[in-house]
Amino acid sequence: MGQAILTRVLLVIPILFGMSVVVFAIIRLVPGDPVAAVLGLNATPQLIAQTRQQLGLDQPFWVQYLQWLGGILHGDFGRDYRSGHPIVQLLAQTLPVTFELVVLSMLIAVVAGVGLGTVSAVWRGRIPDRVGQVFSTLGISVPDFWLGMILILGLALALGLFPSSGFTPLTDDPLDNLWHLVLPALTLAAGLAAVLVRITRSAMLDVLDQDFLRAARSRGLSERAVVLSHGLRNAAVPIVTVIGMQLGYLFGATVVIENVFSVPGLGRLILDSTLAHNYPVIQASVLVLGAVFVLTNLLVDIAYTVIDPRVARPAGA
Amino acid sequence: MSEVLDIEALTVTYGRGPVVRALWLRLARGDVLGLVGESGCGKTTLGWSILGLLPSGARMDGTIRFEGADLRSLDGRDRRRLLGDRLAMIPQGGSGALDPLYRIGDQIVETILAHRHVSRSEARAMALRQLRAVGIPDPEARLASYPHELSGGMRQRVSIATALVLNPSLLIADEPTSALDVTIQAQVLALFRDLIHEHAGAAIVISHDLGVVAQLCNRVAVMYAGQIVEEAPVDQLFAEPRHPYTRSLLAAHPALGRRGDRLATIPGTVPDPASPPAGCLFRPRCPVAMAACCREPPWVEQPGGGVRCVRHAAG
Repeated sequence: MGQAILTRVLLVIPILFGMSVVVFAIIRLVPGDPVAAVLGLNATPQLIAQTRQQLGLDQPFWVQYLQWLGGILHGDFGRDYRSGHPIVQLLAQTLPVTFELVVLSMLIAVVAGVGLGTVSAVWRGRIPDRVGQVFSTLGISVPDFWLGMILILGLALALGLFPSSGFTPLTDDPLDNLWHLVLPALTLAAGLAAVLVRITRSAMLDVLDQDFLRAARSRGLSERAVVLSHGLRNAAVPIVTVIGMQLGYLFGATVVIENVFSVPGLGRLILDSTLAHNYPVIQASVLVLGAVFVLTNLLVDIAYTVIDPRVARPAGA
Repeated sequence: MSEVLDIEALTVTYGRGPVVRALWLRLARGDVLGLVGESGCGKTTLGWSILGLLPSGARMDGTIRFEGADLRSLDGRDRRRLLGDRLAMIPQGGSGALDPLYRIGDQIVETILAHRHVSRSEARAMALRQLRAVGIPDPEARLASYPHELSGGMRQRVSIATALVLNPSLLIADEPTSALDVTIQAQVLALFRDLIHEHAGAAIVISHDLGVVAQLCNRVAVMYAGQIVEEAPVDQLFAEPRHPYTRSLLAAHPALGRRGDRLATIPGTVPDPASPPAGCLFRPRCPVAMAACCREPPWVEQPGGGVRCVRHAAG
């Protein structure tokens, strides 16, 4: 077991390396000149050449890459083309915000999705199951930016229950921070919750049919122990797999949601810097987002060994 | 003689038709009843219907009394209090009876704690004693094993231990030895016979194997197409089978058929529950069927049991 995890951890290194190459290359292929964007319309050819040299853009592609990679290994992601601030600072400001938003959405999605999915399976074909099906169909088919706007219009503007936009840092006022994040988190959670309802329902239906579950009932265990301890835990492997895959989607969707709700997170940083051709910022933020995704998937793989002893302790080992 | 189980006119219907038909059965303390018949005759369904754990979609009519209480009128909570405690089941293919994600010890302890107000460590001690009683080597270590780490024989023993740990007054064992190698089978059978007498008030052993029944039981009920066609003390049934189906079944058994004879098979197949033949259900396959068999056969009481055949009715 230990060795399998170690191999899996070591595999992260080439993945991250490959990702850095792709990120770097793709951004160079995007049309538009960053120097022209930085200097604006009044730039003279001489000024352009000078700036290009300052930013290191006159170097060959591979030299630029190695310099960038070398910096990252020392914790230096370069400087913002425009403001000149170190990018590490920008990341330190925005990443926790996005992280909080994603964790909050995840919690909402797992509680709502797994809960409703379990209820649907247990009361299969009856009213709770119908509710679950309607909810999951809606959740999967409604686009999140549209849902975000509807929530702003309904809950924020019309009813005034929640703020429509803006953000308070967690350290300033945790309650107000949560208050501002409720709507974006709900919006982000809806799609994932809908998928989780379906996966949980079908995984639970599978498990509820198994012999060992009827055997658990025959031992006089409470319905709660049968459904949750024995049922849901056996259904957990497919559910966790989907959560892992959807995490990437969740981080990606923050680019849209943070802009709809004006949340100052990594997603908004990516969009702003892309519109401004701010190469180093895009590179750094996309790379960090990718790394977070790779690491969460690593955590999911490790979670399997906790859930299923057959992964951790194969027979005959 | 105190009655442990009293089943009256039990009928269980799935989508296509009745699987158990108006079945009557009584079990007293000390009885070990073998329930035999071909697969599909309703033995297993009968077992699960006593526990009230039939799959959704099954319909049940009739009454089942367990130690005087009407099981079908109990609510879920009161029924759960009986299951695993005074009324225990060893499900078919013992290995499938264990949750693959939990340690053996935890599953036995969980069962004990659901029924007894004892501490976790006392429950562990009870589990340990019972694992030792079913002959599991190194039981302390096995408590911490997961089901996939044990052999089929060991898993079957764990199932037996779990069912017997609270000394049930009625044990239902569904094919308790069918998943085992022949060598282990004899071992488990011997062990099982002692344990039933020691720990269980009465037992129903469901099996298609007459040899298993001959070793374990003092009474036998032969099931065909959802009905009991013959019931008798075990020695008498083997010495003097009355129902033509019982005779065919005995003749088809390699060890019990008469030496030198060709091993017989029973021609035809079990009737479709949706369209059973009129009269005796065994009539289409019966070697001695006659005109009177087209009418519903009577249940003819015999000493220690009875037989459902018109040939024994006239006297």
